[in-house]
Amino acid sequence: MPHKIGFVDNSNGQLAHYNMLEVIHRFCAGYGSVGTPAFTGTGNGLIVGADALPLGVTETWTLTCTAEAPNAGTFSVVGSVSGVRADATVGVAYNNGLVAFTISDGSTDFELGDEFELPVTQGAAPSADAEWTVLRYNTVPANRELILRGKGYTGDEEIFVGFRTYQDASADYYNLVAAVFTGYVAGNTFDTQPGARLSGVPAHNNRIDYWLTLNPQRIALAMKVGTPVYESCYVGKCLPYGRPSQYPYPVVCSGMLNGTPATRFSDTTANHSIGYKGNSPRLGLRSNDNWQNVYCYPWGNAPITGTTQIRDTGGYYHPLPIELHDNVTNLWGALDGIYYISGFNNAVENTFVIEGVTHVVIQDAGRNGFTDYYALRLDN
Amino acid sequence: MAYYNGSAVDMAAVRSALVTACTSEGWSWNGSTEVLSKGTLFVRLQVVSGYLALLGRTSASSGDAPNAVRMGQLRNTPVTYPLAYHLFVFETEVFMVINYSVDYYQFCAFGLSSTAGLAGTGMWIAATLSHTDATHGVDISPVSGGAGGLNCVAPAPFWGAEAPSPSTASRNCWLHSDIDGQGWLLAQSLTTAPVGIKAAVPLIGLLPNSWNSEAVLLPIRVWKQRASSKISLTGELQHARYTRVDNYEPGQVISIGPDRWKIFPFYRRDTVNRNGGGVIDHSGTLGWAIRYEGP
Repeated sequence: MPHKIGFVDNSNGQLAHYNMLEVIHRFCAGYGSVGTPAFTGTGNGLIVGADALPLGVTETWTLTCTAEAPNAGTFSVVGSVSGVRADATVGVAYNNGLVAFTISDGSTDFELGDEFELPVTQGAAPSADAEWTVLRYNTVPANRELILRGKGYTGDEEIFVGFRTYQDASADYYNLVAAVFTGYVAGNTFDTQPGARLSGVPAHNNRIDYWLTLNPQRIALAMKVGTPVYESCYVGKCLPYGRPSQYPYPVVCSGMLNGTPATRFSDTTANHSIGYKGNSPRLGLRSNDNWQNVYCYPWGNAPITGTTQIRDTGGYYHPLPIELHDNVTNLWGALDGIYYISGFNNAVENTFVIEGVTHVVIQDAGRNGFTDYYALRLDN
Repeated sequence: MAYYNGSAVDMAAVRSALVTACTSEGWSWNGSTEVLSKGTLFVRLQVVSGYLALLGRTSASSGDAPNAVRMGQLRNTPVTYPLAYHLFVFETEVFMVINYSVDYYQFCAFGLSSTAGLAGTGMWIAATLSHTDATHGVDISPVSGGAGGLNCVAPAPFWGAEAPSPSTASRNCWLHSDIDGQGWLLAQSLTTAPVGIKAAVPLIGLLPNSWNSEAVLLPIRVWKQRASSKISLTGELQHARYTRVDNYEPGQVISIGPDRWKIFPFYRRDTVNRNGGGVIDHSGTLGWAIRYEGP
């Protein structure tokens, strides 16, 4: 299931928005999860720092002591699917590209035949063939950076997106930036990557509840922060109304802010709103020529979002695709997995299922009018 | 399902072709009551004064739509024979397009809405004309249609968005949603304006795209006006789409992915006055695409 619902906070001593970036990094890159190791034998060292790496699969790793040594020892490493891999040494960090761990040295040495069993589960993204390649993940600077490359549904595309943080403790804001690029240059800063388009997404230093979903061509995120308000972003391809030969790179960068201003989540002005409503710099569509601040149907349509508003049909809600146009002579496509939905008798975080796929209703920051909601598809 | 085409020498032959195609695809025809039916779908087909009149019903003999919808003479342009017809029969939708006098087209269609939440049967029905004569011709544009009600018509399915004038019920499309206990009504009353094409603004007016010169196929949605300035979606045609025909020839088949679509103008293509207008004898470049499963 390439979506993840959860929360981050600062209980690990790290600001929550940094932890949010880490969640994005691990989930998009395809890291899996590690179960509780089982041990049989004499030694009392432990497996520590275990991690299921993006290339790994769901399997059980069997680590067997094959050579004893005082305060040391050697373990064979055999995956139930991946087979025999390089041996591990007690006290030395181990990484075979599929799984990583360290067998710590305990007060009692390991003996021949001592055995760990370490279950690992493949990440949701690679399970769905939707993982993104990490081009940069730099947690050293205050503005931490993550740049990813998606392969698209064809498997051989290059879709460049990124997230970074920006914050000011004295102004009490802790934000993310959603970004889309047209390429990647290792020597360039985040903001000077080719064709960079940036949009801020207010976050928080304390608890953030999140809904993160992806497919091979786009990543979408919704966060609940603060009072609360809801912050959303989308990076990657839309669903273009044209052939690849006509429109090879139909990418969208949508956040909550125009660029990266010093805006806190509590801002209630029109400058802090979902990009999905269109007609603002908060959502950019890359046409064949340049970035454009496009309109987003049905916002702007009078019967649906103006003089009248859509409501349910006998208790059923019918989400509408959000279609990107210039209001003059071009209709480019639709957002992928983002839908307009009525706020009539509706509430944020409601869920519904269409054709077996769960969608969650998200509101625009703190707004809750009839036209302030969208539905986020939780990809599977 | 199936595609049929041929020619007809009068409107009775048009009806016969429609009935024959439908009964070949699982519909039932009662010759004495002139009712074609399938499941909860009932439509009475009558030829009256040279018009083919289709009346939607909720049963074989009751639950009539407020008025019949028709194909036949529009303004002062008679239907000439022999005409060519195209029939598209799907599991729960039927479309018929006739072509006469070289470049004139009309249609009739009916089917079942698959939109969840309806209280009614979900049957929808539409045709070029309402039950009254369109003596002032066509009124259609990318943002509205059907001004003048009785005397002007938006010859397209679920396009009309103006109140009838004079204020007498007259529509060329209906859907039995029975939402709010209002049966076939698209608005809050027979005499108020339905949503029609206004819910698709501005999309249909943007096409064809400047960036690739192609016209996107847009869904044909049906809306019901509700109290307190609300609307509900009541239908979305499964096998037909709105589009613009600037760069398509009438009858042209286009492929989009695995699907093929046959393109028609709503009434008569005019690439010069492409946005239509009022009291006119054409439909600009406003048109539609019907899913094509023919050879």
